[in-house]
Amino acid sequence: MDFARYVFAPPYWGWLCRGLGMTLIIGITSGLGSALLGFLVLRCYLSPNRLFRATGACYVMVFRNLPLLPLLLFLAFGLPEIWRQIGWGAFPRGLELALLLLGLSFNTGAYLAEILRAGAEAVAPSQTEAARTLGLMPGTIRRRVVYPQAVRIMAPALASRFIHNMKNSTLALVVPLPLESMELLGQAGRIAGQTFSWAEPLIFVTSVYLLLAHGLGRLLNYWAANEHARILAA
Amino acid sequence: MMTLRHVLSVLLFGYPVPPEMIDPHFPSFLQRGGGMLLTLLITGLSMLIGAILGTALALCRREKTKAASANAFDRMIGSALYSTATVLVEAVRGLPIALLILLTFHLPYRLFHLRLPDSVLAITALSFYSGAYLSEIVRAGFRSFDPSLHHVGRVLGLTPRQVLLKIELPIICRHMLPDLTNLAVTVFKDSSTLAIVAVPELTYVARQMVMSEPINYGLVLLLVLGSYWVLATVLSVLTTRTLRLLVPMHISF
Amino acid sequence: MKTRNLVFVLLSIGMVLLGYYIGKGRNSQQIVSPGQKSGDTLSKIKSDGRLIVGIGQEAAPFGYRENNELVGFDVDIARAIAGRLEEYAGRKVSLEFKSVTDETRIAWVQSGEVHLSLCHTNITRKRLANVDFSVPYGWDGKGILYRRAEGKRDLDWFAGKSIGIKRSSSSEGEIKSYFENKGWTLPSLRQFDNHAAGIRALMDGQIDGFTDDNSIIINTAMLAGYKVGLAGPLSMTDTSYSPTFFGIAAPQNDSVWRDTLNYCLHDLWLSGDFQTIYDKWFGPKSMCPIPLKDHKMEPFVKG
Repeated sequence: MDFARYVFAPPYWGWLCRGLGMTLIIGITSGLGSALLGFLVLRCYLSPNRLFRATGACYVMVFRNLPLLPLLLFLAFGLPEIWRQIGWGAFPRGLELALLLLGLSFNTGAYLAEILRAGAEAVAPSQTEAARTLGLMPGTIRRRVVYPQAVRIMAPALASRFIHNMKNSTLALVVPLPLESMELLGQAGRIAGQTFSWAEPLIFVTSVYLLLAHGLGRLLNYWAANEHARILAA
Repeated sequence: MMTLRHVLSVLLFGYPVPPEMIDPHFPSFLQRGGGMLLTLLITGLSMLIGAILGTALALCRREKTKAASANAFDRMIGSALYSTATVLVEAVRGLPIALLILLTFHLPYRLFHLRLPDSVLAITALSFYSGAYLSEIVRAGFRSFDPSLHHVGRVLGLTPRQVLLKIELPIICRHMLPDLTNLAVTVFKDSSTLAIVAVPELTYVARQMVMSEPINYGLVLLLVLGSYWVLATVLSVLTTRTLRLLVPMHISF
Repeated sequence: MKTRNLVFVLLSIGMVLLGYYIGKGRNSQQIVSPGQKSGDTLSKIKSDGRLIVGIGQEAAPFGYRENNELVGFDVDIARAIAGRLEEYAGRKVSLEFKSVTDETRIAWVQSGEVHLSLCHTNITRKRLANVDFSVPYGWDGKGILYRRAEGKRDLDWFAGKSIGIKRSSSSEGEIKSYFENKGWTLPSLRQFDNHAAGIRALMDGQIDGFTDDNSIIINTAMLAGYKVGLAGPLSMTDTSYSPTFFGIAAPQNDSVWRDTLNYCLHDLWLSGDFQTIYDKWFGPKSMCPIPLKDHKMEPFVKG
């Protein structure tokens, strides 16, 4: 094995650095997107309107049982084709990255929604009642009482989901992004395609992911433990 | 030719495998299948192997193994097992499934000159994956086990092994049911990642189909997504039901 | 908990270092006795009677599914070579296929996992630095496929446009050097998993052009139901930016094995079997005819 030749030499080193940057960007953006979706669905769950509750439940039911890779393939290839067949003209271009982020967010969002709902259910009903007797509006109760506690109770599970989402970004491999904006594993594959050597770039990417998952895991676990402790102390 | 029946039968059974592609040193039922059938075969076998691996890893990582023994040699072996298992589990859990699959497909020959059929490699990769996550589930199960029951078992005259097999594992199994089901569904869904290394499971078969037939990729992918969804939903309901039947009820408390 | 973290960081660093040292050992070995011992592959086949061929399944007309069966030029050539090889190995040889993709076809020959790979592999100097090739057994060129309805295009039109390529093909480097030599703006390249997806993306207007070996693109487009040329929605540029020679990839520095493969090909050429197979896939009745009269395999003199 020859890491000096296949990993640390130009232009491969530059490709890998760029790939790491893209992995972080994709991971963080889709993580934020899925958090937003998760809260939206949680809001639906807590809504008194039956229609909203059903929508939320449907979303979770559908996306929890859909595999991510075919979903991304569908967004990248199936959607434009069906779009054209229906007769809506050409599918707008340059949406690959957006569709990828959408796919990742929808996938992780479904899990986050379930986790957050479990958190919200764990908040004692007496607290909501107490807040209501104090005369707080339902919106204020949700924002000030239910959401913060739900997040804190479920902090460890949320953290592990975010890391999982970061790992899922490797599936961007199948989406035809411009060569420069492919993520880490895609760039490793690109090196392998040019140098015919898989082992070196793969081992390098493995160590990056181990450090990333572990470092990020520590960071998020630290946050999660703090939040969890705060809720226990309260 | 392009009937729905043809499309469905290809998605279900895959394209026939040419006789040259079957490695005579390995069982042919592993190599003949394709499509949804192969997906199910891979999921089933890797959950089975993963269950054994995961339980073994979890047993290695029990605190008892590390500390309780008086003998210095035992203690050393115990802590060696503990750290090996920890490293293995943490490494596999830290890796994306796509990377794990690529590693399994590219390293065995390069490092050990092992030439294995694709489906065997696929099962290996997913067994490690499910084993690592399963060991965490089993560990959580062990933690939830009330240690006093252990003493009760010993007082009743059972050996430590009997306590483990007859009392501890069944109770833990029932605790783990929901997590196990989730894991099975996850492995089933993540087996679609095998398409990137051309294992002819469901997702790859869809790709093969658009490569050789005038068919709408979008519709095929919708069919594929639909069948994953239906099977994952059925799987999650069924596994819960059957496992509940298999694991003795009377131990619940 | 703390020790676990430490173990973990050490493991990651250790893995890279270990890999580096193992690799260093292997490389220095290679300089002393390059690759495998000469004649290694043939003697291995003589001793255990297994010929392991890496076969591509993802590109018509080289290897693809027709009426559910795996067929193609490469598949037929592999079977014919296995038949001829029995004479050189002096025993019955059982042919075993191992499915390779564009990503693995060179790497697995290099590592020895397959004895040869037949996966519409272009002979390039970059690849020759890692494996050896037989004499060319197929000839083609690389143009760019585009939507005909929007007007006739030639290569210069694609400067700065977005072009789809097949993952792990040699097109990336070839297109870049061709455009650089001409002084045109480099196109933005996108990698596709398979030709069919790329051609569909082209039809959907997601990219401006798609490129790879002409015969593969035209066959795949035809199979997908899109005619190429005057009668259809797609067309190929008249000029190509790179000629293509297809070769059988064999392990580096194993000249006995490479010679044997060449002899097999030559025997097929002399007996006329090669022409029969070639006509089946590239003859006038095929989807992308490439007349054999422009190209020739030059058999070595026997004796």
